[in-house]
Amino acid sequence: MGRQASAIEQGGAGGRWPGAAAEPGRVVVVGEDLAREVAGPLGACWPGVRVCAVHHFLFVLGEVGRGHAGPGRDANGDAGGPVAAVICRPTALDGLLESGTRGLRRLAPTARLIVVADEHEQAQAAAALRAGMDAVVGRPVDGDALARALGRGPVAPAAQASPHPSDAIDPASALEPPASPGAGVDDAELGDVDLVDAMLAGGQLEATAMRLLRARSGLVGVALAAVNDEIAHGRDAAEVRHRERLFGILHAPSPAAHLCEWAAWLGRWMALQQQVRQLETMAMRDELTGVWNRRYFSRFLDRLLERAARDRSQVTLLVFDIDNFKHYNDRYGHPAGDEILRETARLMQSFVRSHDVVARIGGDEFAVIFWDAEAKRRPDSHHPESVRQAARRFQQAVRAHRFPKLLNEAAGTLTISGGLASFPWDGRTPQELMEKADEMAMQSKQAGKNAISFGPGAGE
Amino acid sequence: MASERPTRCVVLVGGEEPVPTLLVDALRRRGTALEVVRDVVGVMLDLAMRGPAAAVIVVEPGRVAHLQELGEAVRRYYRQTGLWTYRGGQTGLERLEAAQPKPGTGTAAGDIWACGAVAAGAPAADRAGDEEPVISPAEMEMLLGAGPRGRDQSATG
Repeated sequence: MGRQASAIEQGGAGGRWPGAAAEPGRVVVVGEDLAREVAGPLGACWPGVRVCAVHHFLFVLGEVGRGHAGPGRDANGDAGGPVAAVICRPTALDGLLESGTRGLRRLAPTARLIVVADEHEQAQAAAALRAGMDAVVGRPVDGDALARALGRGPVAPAAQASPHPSDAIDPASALEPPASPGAGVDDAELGDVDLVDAMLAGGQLEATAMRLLRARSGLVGVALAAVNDEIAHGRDAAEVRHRERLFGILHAPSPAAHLCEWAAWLGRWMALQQQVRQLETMAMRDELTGVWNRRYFSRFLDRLLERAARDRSQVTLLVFDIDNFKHYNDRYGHPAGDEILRETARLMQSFVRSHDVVARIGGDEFAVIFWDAEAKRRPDSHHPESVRQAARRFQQAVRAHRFPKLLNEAAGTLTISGGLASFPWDGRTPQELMEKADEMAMQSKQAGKNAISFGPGAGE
Repeated sequence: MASERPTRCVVLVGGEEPVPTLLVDALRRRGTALEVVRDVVGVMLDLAMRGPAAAVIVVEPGRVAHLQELGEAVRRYYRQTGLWTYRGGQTGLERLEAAQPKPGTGTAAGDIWACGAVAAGAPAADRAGDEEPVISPAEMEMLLGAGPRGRDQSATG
């Protein structure tokens, strides 16, 4: 079972790793030295990933731009494709930090933006995070740290690809301490109940299942590898699969009795977990736009405000809709209306941080929950300036955006009207906050549309 | 009948510099669709989101940061997009060329991108004060044609 770790493309022109799963992801790395440095850890936590090394930061925007469908984007005959992550050193962002990060967010809202920094570069790393980069990884680059920064677990079966990459990052998970199913249970006593608990806790099934498997099977040194990992000689291996879905490779020192049976057992559990995740996604995501739906939005806001009341953190709600949406829908047809909704959602996602919650809560009505995972309110606190600015920039971006299906005559005419309300100044319950944001949005409409009004708590 | 799409140009006006109305008016009079952006990231964003343009025109290139990188990026990812520069008081555009370093000269990286004039019109001083378009016909041909052409073609065109 000879397998390699990863491959590096040079500016998108290089080759792909043979045998990799179809389009598992593309990571753009600024600088060939850095690309070499992260290739190993990347391959370990993300088998089959394509690493594209580019010379400088503007090339990243070129690479990401190739992910936007359109003729003539490919200068090297390479298929390009969506960029799942961008990795760079702080120096690559010199003079481009704010605009570059903002630009990347617009072009690739779901991509993970990671800075690899030395210890003496803490200030630059912090600035990068403030500008909107997702994570900082210290040097030398550690595989686990990189996996966390990428939002990936230790094993990432290729078959678990999701239609919405951001599914992996559920903001609600940040509201509660991480669950540790079966943590206090002796391995020999683990059972199905612990596996179900692990699955319900989200994403911890593999670890619990492997503990159980090791205890029950008696296989010393049994381990689960990703689909494309290289398995050392002298070990037996069996595919962990369920029907056509391949999740990983179970391997143990040879001879390993009943390895295939245990692999089949594990495959069933992993298939069940995948199905549960898919159902959760279907239940919580808006199918048209890919953002969260009203059900998730309500649930998240309830829990968030409970937490905010407890730890005095800041929460701001933006509610907006598209001015004259019905007119566009009627005039240009439903496909154009759908495109407006999708593009608006995509634009909105590019203007918020990865943990903020963008949701479609009605026909053309969207809501965004801006919340701060760390900073606490002080007596003199008020709504963060950055949220007002983000809302305004988004408003301007929608107005400037070209919606191809609206043809040229409609370019630059589409606008939004919205309202901002902040906890606790404008409301202490989800209902109060929604009512205030709706009231502010109504004021925007009455004032002639194309505006965002602020509640007293969010006002200037 | 298929509608004809106007030629598209991206005009990069660095920082707080005023948008040169002479240039913009001259392009618009010729039916060119313009997008004005304020930094090099804006150029790359525009090209990615709206598709390749016929030309990127950099106003006052000496005041634009990361111009060399922009040149390299546009050449790499948008080969059909020409790179031009425009300076206030100048009658024509100049093509931003990727100059080849001469053997043995040890050209610094920052010098690789240089401005090469392609305008076939009269010298700037001769045009000052008259009402001729700010862009020479040869340059407009370059912009409005099927794609950017080389220095020799436009100079003799």
